[in-house]
Amino acid sequence: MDTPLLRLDATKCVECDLCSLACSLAKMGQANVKIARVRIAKQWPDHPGLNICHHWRCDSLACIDSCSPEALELEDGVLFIDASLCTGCGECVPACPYDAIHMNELDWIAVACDLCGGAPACAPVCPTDALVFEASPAPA
Amino acid sequence: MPSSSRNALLRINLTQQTATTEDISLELAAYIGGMGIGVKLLLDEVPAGADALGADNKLIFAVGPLTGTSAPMFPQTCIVTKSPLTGTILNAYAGGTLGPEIKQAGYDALVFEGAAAEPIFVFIDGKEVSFHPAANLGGLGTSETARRVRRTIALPEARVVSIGLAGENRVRFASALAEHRVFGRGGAGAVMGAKNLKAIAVHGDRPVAVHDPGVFEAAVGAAWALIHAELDNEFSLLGMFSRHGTGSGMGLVNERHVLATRNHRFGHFDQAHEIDATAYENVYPTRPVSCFGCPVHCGMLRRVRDGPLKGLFSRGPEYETMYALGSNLALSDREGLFRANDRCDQYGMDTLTLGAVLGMTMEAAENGLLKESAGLRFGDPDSILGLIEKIAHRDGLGDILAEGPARAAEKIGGNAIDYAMQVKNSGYAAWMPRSMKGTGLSFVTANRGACHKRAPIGVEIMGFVDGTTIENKAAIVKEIQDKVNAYFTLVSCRFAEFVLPPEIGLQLLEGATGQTLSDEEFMQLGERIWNLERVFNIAETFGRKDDLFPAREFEPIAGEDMDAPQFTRVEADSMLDEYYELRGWDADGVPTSACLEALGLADYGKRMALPGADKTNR
Repeated sequence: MDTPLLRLDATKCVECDLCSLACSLAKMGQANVKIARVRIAKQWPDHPGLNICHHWRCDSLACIDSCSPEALELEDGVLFIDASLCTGCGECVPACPYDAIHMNELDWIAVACDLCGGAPACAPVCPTDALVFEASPAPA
Repeated sequence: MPSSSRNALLRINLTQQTATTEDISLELAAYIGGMGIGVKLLLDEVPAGADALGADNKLIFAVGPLTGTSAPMFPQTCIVTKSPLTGTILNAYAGGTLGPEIKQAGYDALVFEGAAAEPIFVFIDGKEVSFHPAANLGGLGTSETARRVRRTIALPEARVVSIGLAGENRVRFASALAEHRVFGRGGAGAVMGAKNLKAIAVHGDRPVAVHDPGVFEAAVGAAWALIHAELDNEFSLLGMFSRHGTGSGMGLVNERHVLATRNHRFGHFDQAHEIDATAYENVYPTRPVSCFGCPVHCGMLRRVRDGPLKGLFSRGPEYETMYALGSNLALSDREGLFRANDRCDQYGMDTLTLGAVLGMTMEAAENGLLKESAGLRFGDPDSILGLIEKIAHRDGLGDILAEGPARAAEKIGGNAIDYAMQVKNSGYAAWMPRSMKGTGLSFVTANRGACHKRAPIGVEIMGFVDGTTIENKAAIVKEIQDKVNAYFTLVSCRFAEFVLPPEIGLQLLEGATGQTLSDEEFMQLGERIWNLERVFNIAETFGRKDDLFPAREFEPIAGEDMDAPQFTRVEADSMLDEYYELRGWDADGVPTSACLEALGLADYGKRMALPGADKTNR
C-alpha cells in the first residue's frame, strides 16, 4: 500500500472535535463541526472512530458504483468527487460503509475528505497527536 | 455584520407547552452572555420570594459569544436559577458539547418557565420545539434517560441534559447532567424535577460565524500559544490536569496539610494515596476526554476490569469528589468511592453538598444524635452507598438529609449544626478556611453558598500569599470574584483564568462579536453582576447573618501540632467588615444606593426594599 492517509489512534483521541473544527474552517470557511469532512464518531464509552474514506480496505467501493453520473473516482489514492458532475442525488452517502461522504449543506453536492491536497488542516491541531497524516505510509 | 452571538433567546413555557423566540435586547446584550444575561434575566423576571421549586422560578441555560467558535477553553454552558438548596440565586456550569449545540441550534439562551403537569422531555431541533411525554423515563438514571431520549427522537447526535431520581424527588442538591458533564451545585436538577422536566434534547447545525476573522484568528493563535506552553509544562496546573485529571493535585494538598479530612476535623488524610489520580490510573484503564474544542482534556473516563463492578465505566472521580466523599469521609476504599461517584452521577446529585451532608450525619451518629444511626461510620463504603440510596429515594433518614446539610442538621437537633460544613446550606468545597482565610472569605460571601470557583485557592495553596493571615484578603477575594464573573459571561471554563489573561478574552470577544471593552469595563461588568446577585439575595432576606462560618472553623485543626485555634471570630468579622466596605455595602452587607448607582443598577434598589422572602424555602 502506498497511499496517503489520515490515521487515528483511537486510544489517544480525546474527542475534542478540534480536527472537525479546523476542517470546517478550512473547507467551508465556518466553524461548524456538523459539516466537517473529517468527523470523530463518538461511541462513548468505547473509543471513537474516524469517519473518513478507508478505500484501501473497502471491499465494495459501493460509493463509486452508486453514482450514476460517475462523479466519484479514486485518484492517487484519494476519493475524488467531481463537483461539476454531482447532481446532488445523495445515493453515495448511505453507500459508504465508513460514513465518509456527506452532502454539503451550502450547495447540496456530495463532499468527502480530500486530504486538503496533501496538507490537511486537521492533523496539525490534534492536541494528543492521535490524528496523524502520512503522505506515503509504510505498507501495512 | 456577522457575530458569533445569535441575538436570540428561546422561551419555553412548560405549563402551556409553547415556545417563542425573542431578540436579545440591547440592555441585555450589555451583559455579554452566559452568567451575565442569565443573572439579568432572573432578576428581571423572577419575583422576590418566589418558590425555587414552584412554577414562578425560571431555569435559564445561557451560552456565550465564544461558545461554538474555535476559541479554546470556552465549551461551557451556564445555568442560572433560584436555588432550592440555598434560596439564593444560583449559577452552575457544565462542559462537554451541550453549549456549542445550543449555539448551533440558534440561541444564546434557553429560558424554561412554568411547570409541566406530567413528566415530559423537550426537544429543541433548531427552530422546532416539541414536547414529549416522559412518564416512562421515571426513575431512570441520567445516562439511560439520555440514551432513551435519543432513541425516541431517533437522533443519536442530539445532546441531552437529564436528571435522575434525585432531581425527580426534589433532593435539594440534585444535579443535572449534560451527558458526562455535571451541572453540580445548588440543585438545578431539583428545579428541573419540580418542573416535571426529565430531560432536554438539543440539536442544531447552524454555523457559528465571527465578526472579524482576522482579529479573531490572531486572538485564537495567542490563546493557543499560552495554553500550549502551559500544557508542555507537566508541573503546571493545566499540565497536571491534562495528564492525570483534576485529582492530580491531591498529594500536594495533603502534603501541605490542607486536605480536609473526617468532616474537616483534620487537614491530612493518611490514605490519600489510595484514592488520588495515580491510584485510579494504576488500577482502572483510563482515557482522557475533552470538552468541545479544548486541548486540555482533563476528564478521565475509567472502566472497571474485574471484580463485582466489572463492566462499569464512569468519568471521574474529580478532585472535589475525591475530597467530598473520600478524605472528608475518611473513605480510602477506591472502588467504593468510584461506585459512590457513579451513583451520584446516575441519581443526579452534587457530590460536594452530599459530602457535607454525610460528614455531618456520621459525626452526629458518632455523638449519639441519631436514632436511625445503626452502623453509620466514617470510612465505610456501605454507610455511604446506603445513604446515597436513601437520599435519592427520600427514604427514612434520607428524606431529612435530602434537605441539605444545615436544614438536615436542624431537624436532627442537638448541636448537629456545628458539624455541618456549609454556608447557606450549600456544602463546602475541598478547602480549609483555617489555613486559607481568603478562600474562607470566598466561601461565606459567595452568592451561591460555599463556592470555590471564585476563591484565591491557587495563590493560597502555593504560598504566593500567606493563607493563615487575614491581611488584604478582602481585596484579593473581591478581585477574583469580579474577574471570574466577567469570564463567565464569555462563558469560559473556570480553568481558562489560570492561563488566559483578560486581554485575550477581550480580543476574542472583539473578533467574535465586535464588542470592545477595556479591562476595567470587563472587571466592572463582573462587579455589576456580583452586585445584582447580592441584590437578589438581600431581597430573599439574606445578609450578614448568613455570611457565616461553621463553628468548626474556630477550633484547632486536629492532629496538628498546635494548641490554639488558627482562626477567630474576631478575624472573621474583621475580614467581612473590610470586604463589605470595599464593595460599597453597609455593615449588614447590603449594597448602598451609591454603590448601585455607580454600577448603573439604581433601579434594582427597589427590589431590596420589598418584603416577601420565601420563608418556606429557607
